[in-house]
Amino acid sequence: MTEPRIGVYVCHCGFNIAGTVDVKKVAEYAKTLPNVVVARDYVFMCSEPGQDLIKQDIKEHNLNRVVVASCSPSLHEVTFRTAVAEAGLNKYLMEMANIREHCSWVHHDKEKATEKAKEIVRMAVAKARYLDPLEELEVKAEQSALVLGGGVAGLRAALELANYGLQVYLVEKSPTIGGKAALIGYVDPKTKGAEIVSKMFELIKECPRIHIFTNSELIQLSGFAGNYTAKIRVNPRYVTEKCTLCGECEEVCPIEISNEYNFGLNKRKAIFLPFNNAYPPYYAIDHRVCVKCGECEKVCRFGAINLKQEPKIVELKVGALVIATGYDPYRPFKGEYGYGLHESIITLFQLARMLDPESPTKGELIIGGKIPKSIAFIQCVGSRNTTPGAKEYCSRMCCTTAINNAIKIKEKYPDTNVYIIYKDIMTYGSDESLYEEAGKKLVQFVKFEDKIPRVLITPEGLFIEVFEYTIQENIRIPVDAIVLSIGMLPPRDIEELIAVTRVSCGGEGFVREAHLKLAPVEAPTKGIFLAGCITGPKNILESIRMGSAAAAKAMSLLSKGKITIEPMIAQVNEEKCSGCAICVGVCPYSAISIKNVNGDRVAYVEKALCMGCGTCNAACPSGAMQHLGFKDVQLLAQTRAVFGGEVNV
Amino acid sequence: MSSVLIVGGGVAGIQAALDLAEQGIEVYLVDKAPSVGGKMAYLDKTFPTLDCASCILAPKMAALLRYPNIKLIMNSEVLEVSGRAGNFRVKILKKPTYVDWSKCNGCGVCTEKCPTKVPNEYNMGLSQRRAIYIMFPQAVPKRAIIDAEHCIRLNPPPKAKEKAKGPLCGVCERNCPTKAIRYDQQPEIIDLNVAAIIIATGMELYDPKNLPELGYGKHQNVYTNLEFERLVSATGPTNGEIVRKSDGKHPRKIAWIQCVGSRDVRFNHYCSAYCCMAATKQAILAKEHLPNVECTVYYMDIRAFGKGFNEFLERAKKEFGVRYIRGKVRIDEIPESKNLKIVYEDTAESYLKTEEYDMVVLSMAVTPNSKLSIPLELAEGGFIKLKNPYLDPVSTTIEGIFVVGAVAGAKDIPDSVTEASAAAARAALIAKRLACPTPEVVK
Amino acid sequence: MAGGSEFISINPSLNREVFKLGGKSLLECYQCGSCTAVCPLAEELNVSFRRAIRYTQLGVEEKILGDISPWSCNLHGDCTDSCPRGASPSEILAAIRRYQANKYDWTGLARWWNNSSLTAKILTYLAFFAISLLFYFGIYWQKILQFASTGKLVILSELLIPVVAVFVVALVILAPSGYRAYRFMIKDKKKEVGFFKSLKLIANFFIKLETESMGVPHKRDRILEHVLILVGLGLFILLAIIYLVFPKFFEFEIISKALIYIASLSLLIGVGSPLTKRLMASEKTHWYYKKFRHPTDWMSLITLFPVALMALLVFVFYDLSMILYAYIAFALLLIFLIPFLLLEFAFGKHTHWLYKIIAYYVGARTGYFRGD
Repeated sequence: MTEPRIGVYVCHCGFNIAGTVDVKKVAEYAKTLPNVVVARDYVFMCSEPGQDLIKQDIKEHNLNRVVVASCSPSLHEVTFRTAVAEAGLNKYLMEMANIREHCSWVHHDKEKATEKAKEIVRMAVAKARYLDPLEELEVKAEQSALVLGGGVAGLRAALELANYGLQVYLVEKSPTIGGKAALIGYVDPKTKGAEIVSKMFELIKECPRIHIFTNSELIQLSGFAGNYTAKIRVNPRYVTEKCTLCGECEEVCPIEISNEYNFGLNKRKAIFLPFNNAYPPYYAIDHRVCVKCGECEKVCRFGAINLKQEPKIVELKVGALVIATGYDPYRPFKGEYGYGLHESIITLFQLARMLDPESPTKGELIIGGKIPKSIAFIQCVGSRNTTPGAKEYCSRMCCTTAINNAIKIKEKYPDTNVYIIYKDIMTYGSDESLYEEAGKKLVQFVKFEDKIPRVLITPEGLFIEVFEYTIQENIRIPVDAIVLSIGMLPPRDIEELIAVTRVSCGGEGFVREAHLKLAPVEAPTKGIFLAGCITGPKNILESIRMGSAAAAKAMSLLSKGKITIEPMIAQVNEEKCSGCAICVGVCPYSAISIKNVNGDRVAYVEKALCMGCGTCNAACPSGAMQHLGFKDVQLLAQTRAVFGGEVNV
Repeated sequence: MSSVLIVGGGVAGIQAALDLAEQGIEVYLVDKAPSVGGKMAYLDKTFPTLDCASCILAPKMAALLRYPNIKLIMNSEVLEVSGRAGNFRVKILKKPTYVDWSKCNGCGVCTEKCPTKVPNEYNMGLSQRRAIYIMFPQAVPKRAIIDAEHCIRLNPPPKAKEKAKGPLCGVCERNCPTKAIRYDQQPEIIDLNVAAIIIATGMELYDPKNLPELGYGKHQNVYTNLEFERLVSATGPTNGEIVRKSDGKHPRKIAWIQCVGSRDVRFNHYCSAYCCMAATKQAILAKEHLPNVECTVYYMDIRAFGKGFNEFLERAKKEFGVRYIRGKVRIDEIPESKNLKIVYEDTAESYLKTEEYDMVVLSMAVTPNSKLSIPLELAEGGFIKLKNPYLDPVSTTIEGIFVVGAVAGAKDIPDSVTEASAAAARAALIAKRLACPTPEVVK
Repeated sequence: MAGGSEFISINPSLNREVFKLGGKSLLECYQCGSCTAVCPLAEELNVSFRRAIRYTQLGVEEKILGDISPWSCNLHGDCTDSCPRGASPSEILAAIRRYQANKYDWTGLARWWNNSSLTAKILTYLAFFAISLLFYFGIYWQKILQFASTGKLVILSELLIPVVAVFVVALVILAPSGYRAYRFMIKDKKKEVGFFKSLKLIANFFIKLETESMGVPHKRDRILEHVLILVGLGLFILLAIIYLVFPKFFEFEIISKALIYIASLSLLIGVGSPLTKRLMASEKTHWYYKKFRHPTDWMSLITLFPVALMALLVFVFYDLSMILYAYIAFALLLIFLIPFLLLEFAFGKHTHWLYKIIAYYVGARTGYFRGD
């Protein structure tokens, strides 16, 4: 290794640094440090003249390391790396010493701050002596994306990506796309979820670049951003494109089960059409319940049924993955507010479905066989810690949905008493107008706080007993029907999703985003994006927008056709590695595997997957795992320098 | 490939710009302020993670400078838009900054030397800045600007003008190391051709003076929540010391009043969506700064609807002992102590109560910055109307113009950021002239 | 029925009833309590208008019947000005009062009268008027002619008898209702305050309240109108008593005439002013005259107006020496008084004087006043 020749550049940052730190002294001090050839101070190192100063010195003094003492690297690391690169030096031979955020901005005492700045510079110089040149890698990015989940968020993402020119594979678990939005009746006073979904289907049909896999699931995902390989299992539908939707098969099918597409309001057969506008528009056989009696096959005049279909595995190359697998409605336990004990206690989803003109009741409100004269919604069922089974979070959409449907009921049955028993009404933003409207439509609100309401099932009928918070009295409300405003749960199969895609989930059970505030549609893993309720409860509009947003991120990632891989990642010294595989277990991105090199088990880092977190480096017992840019030798030098130790290791 | 104009450089505008620029699309980012950052730049911390706002925003702001295809047009406003999706012609009025920004390097010498002090808008008037100033330390671009109204040179006091023979002052010009001062700078009209426009003009706080019963402006120790945010911020007027305007003392009891101007048919019907959590956050921050302070929030419904919000609320109650009282209030000042008497009905106890506080913070409603020179249809509350949000997310009534963030409806940061990315996707399709069938409107 | 006995069963139709009684914005209220916070009464009284409204929204009948908050309301309207939901708490409280009065009334007629439409009310009123007219002129026509021929307006006592009788009947009808109201209200008593102290509390309270309110123009108008009606009615009752007990008083013509003119003019202006404002309601009219337009509000003025007009006419005619017309006007005055007393006074809005007095009295005696 050639002797390090270091140039140190101390920035004034106007008064930002110079106001608290004596930059001249720091520069003078830097000159005394070993291997420092030149040290200068300048009012703005990041400005053109400042950068020129560095470039000139590199050439003049034949510098091979540069230390810039200025602001946080998050601000100007790229600037200075570019500058040194322009002077012909490898850009990773530049080290920044943050004497602004870490020093001048947080101190007042000029003398002490100057001393601290000197120490920071000393540390940076110590590290700089051990810097290695690094090279960035570039890999080709597949011009395709995989969208998991065919609900509104997934459909929206698929549409954007396909229009952008990418090949889109849409993988949906159930036999139709459309998700829950297709089933939940009115999503606002004027719009039906089913209408939105139908219009989206039309757009999808026009898009040749969207390939839809229904009855399918992602079973394996390997590779990295820009180069994923996805394995899809396509489960048999047993019904082919020849299906004309005549419905004769349905009549002969002997199996009858609760219809999840009507939230259990009626029954369906094992061969069924999920809903009227389902897409693709063919019947499907539910393989979980079908006994393969063959009756349908016999009766089908078009030969559309093939009970011999087998599951297929499809392998796809995709550049990005959008996860939009949505949510599950909360499942109240038996007896939670009387759920399951009385035919007139239903869920919000059932009620909303019922008010859809295409529901089994044709849009009529018939609960327990009759039109209720008095109906109560109980809010926060499964949310906000109300019952032992409830989650801590607020499910965000239930208040608005309940109020929207309460207004619908009042419009249709003005004589029916409608109660909404709530904890806090969460009609945030412009949805407040619905709350206002509800008052005008004579919907009644009852507030509870810590004591949750109790449902009484008596021979005289149903009653709700609640401690009304605003009058501090126990009241008993006679009702004919009770609607439980159930919240949202992470989808049942989120464990499998996590296992396959390596996304992580937060305490509440939903998938965690890269940053709650500023990166809400990105997973921490590059190349994986999130849309809709998979990250937590959302309303339909928010989910749709998230679909577009996730698509934008995938577009950004894939638009250049190639992906640059940061070189500051983990590197294995195969000589030292004992193949203990501790690193494999701790890597949060599953970037490390064990491979066989000349008969020895050694760790192997998939460069494109490594995010440079350093966990493996810390865990490695032999020091074989080194983090480029933060190698042990570099950090130790820096650490020794803190304590005024020898800069020479 | 053509370009996209983004109006408004708040967090939504920034995010949209970055998403588009990353795809290689040319972006013009226009803001009326001299720096990007918007309202988020005023915040100390963000809920529910208590992330330092500028620590997460500043890197995004700085990132704007790293893209050669992002052009920042600050201190400017859109005058006129004509044409159609794919080919809009835009006239932008660039107001004079009186500083040549290609020369200025933000060193701040001028702001030290300038003799004129004026209230600092960035600190909500709680501190002072000079007539030549840099909006805030992390400003992007970090450039000085002269406030022509207060500059002695540009707007000399009539008497001084009469006496003086030549031009007055000129201190900044003399001291500028890069010779960037241009007193004769004129407004400039910039003509642009863009394929799509994203409106991200955000919101302003509603004027608290419309609610005289709360005494803002009359009672010294009544603050808006944005003022309190500056007060609690390390970069604020008191370097993060929470002190009262009247006597400079630490408050012992602080009250937050929710729904000020929101959810009120007299002012704004809508809920402002951010304030419940913002108040909860501020109460926690107050507790962190002054462990013995008593914090009380007067609310109607606590809207803890977002991810992690309810958990945050529970934490405020249990861990920090923040008190929540349900009821609307009226505020009277006690003249001797300048303390504030809050009169309210505790709706749990059905009893008119009064309680004395040292400081009151009003959780203000937001109003959209929707008065634009573009003839966009407005929805209730003055927000920009979305044409068909279910099928054409974030599109306004004019094709090719998209709207994101709080100007399309009161919302918090993550929702604004999500919309910004969504708009970036929609605008990219137009900018790259890709097939984008216009869907029918849902009836 | 199952469940603990401490739970109050609600009456789900109560809010509809109050809605029909004029509380149109009842369910728009979202329970913020600003009405109580801004109310000039609330600092003096332990009342919660919000809670009264909530009881009504939910139908907590047993609580609302004894709630004195609606009766303590003096319709200043600050609540309506500051209601964030644009509801009108004062109007709702007026409707709740109608509901309460309906329940206090033991005959059931109040409920019918308060719930009937304006047309039905006017027709009933006219029917009563016609019967009284026939009755009066049937009995007294000859006498009126005879009295008139004396050229003096002196022999009025005879004509007064039927009305005094009707008045007594009305009071008799009201008395049990008043007692019922008292029983309902006294139920949730907290502490006992002495009788005289109570009176003092009430007097102090009203003086302070009305003095403060006089500073606000729109409140001043309404207070003046109300005071004029009170002065008019009060003076007439006083004069009638004096006339029956000590007729010689009327020989001091200047004083008595002045009092009579004051009484009749007060009443006429006090009734005429709000009536005109209601009839001519325009953009600029204060919301009070536009909101309080329930049939009972109209009737309280409509029934009183001819009484006031006739009272004035009696002495106008007398001063013009048109004695016969004066007698006829006097008879008409009495005739108009009969339906007023039998309908409005006994069952209608004018019962509020009684319930209000009871409410304040009960309030004062059971610790509703904060002053002590």
